[in-house]
Amino acid sequence: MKSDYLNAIKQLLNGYRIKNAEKADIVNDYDRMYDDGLEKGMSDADVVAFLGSPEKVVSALSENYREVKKPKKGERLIALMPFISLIAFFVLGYFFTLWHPGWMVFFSIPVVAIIVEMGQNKDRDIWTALSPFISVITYLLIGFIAGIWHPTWLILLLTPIVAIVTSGYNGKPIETLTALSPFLAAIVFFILGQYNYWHPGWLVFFIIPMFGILNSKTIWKIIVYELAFLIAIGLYLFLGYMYGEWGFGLLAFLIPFILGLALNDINLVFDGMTVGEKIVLLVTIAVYVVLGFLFNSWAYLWLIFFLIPIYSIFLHSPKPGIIIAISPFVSFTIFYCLGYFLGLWSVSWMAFLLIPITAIIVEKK
Amino acid sequence: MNTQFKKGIIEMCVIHMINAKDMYGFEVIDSLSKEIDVNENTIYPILRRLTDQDYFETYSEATNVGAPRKYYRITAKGSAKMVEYQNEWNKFLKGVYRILGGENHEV
Repeated sequence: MKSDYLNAIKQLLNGYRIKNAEKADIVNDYDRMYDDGLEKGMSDADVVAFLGSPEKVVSALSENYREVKKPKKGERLIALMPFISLIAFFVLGYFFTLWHPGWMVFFSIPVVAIIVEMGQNKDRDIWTALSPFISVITYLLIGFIAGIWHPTWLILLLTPIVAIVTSGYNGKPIETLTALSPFLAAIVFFILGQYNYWHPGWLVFFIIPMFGILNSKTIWKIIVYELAFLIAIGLYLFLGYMYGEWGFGLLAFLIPFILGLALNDINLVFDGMTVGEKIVLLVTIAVYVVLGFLFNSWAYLWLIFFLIPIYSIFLHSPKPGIIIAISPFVSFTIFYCLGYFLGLWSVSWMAFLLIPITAIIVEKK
Repeated sequence: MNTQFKKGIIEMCVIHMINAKDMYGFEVIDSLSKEIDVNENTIYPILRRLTDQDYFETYSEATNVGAPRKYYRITAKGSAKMVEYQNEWNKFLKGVYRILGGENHEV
């Protein structure tokens, strides 16, 4: 019993950076204290209860010592990946003249690190962490090989989609669908746009409130709202296609809007919004709708909506972080404009490099 | 009670006990745990640490059964530390009593 107790302490101490002499001294001390307990008439179990279990003893002692860090599985692989990718890059380059897109092997460095680190910890966010790489690699490969840069770039939306699916929405399909709806709508919108259905393809964005309403606990409300949206969309399309009255047809959307007001679900008081923000919001909507109808600019003018978050960032964010915060919007605008207007989808993705570059420059300052 | 606070008090008690007389590990744990509700396994690390900090020195004494006993003896540095602890403790208690029970309380 005593030897088991002392051996257990010894074993547990091996998990810490302690000199052998010190380790032996601790074990000797417990050896002596154990004997003292027995001399006092205690049973083995009493002594162990009195001195504490080996785990408790070493845990109490461990505050003074550093834990021995055992090399984790796969750490060597992570460390070797830069060299492996470099070798793979040269092999692809020299033997197969695949310098491009052979350079993409360097993506394996972070990918392997994520798989090893997060896979070992069974981290459920592993797919969220991998998704940027999966989407970028897929996007670049399809772009380089097939030249289909647009609308392949939509695959970049995979990251938020995976994050939503793997996050706390588990077991709540309606909530998951609601959170996913903006991305699904955007994907459908751009795919329809590809076939020149920007208009009335934009109607797909109505799935956002239509899915949102499904979260209501009142069945009749769900039915009434869904019907209102369907009637409004139907009426809008009817007036547009039958009489060419697209502008007038927009009034059909007053049906769900008025319904929302009547049922107190739409609150026109924009609490927390400054006058400037309200103006920016209204002006961007007005400009988008008016110019959309006048110049059929639906496919690109939606970028104007970025002004809403950009203005809010300027208003509320701490000054040093403003440029970093707006860089994703600027990058996306550059990316989309170069692609849409000049057909440079193959290179316009580089605009996204602006985000980390901006962050590095601003942080260094 | 806050663990760190309790550890501080135990440390003070251990120094005080060893100052009164040389003691061996089991004896310290046994005596202290009779007076204070304390996890016995926390006392030995304190003894070790205070020895490392030169507040105690150790010497061995043979026994009839088993290995020799390691005794802890206070050093000059340890004595000074005990006085420091004592003063801090008295000051602290005076403050606490003033808050809890007015000026009539004496330490």
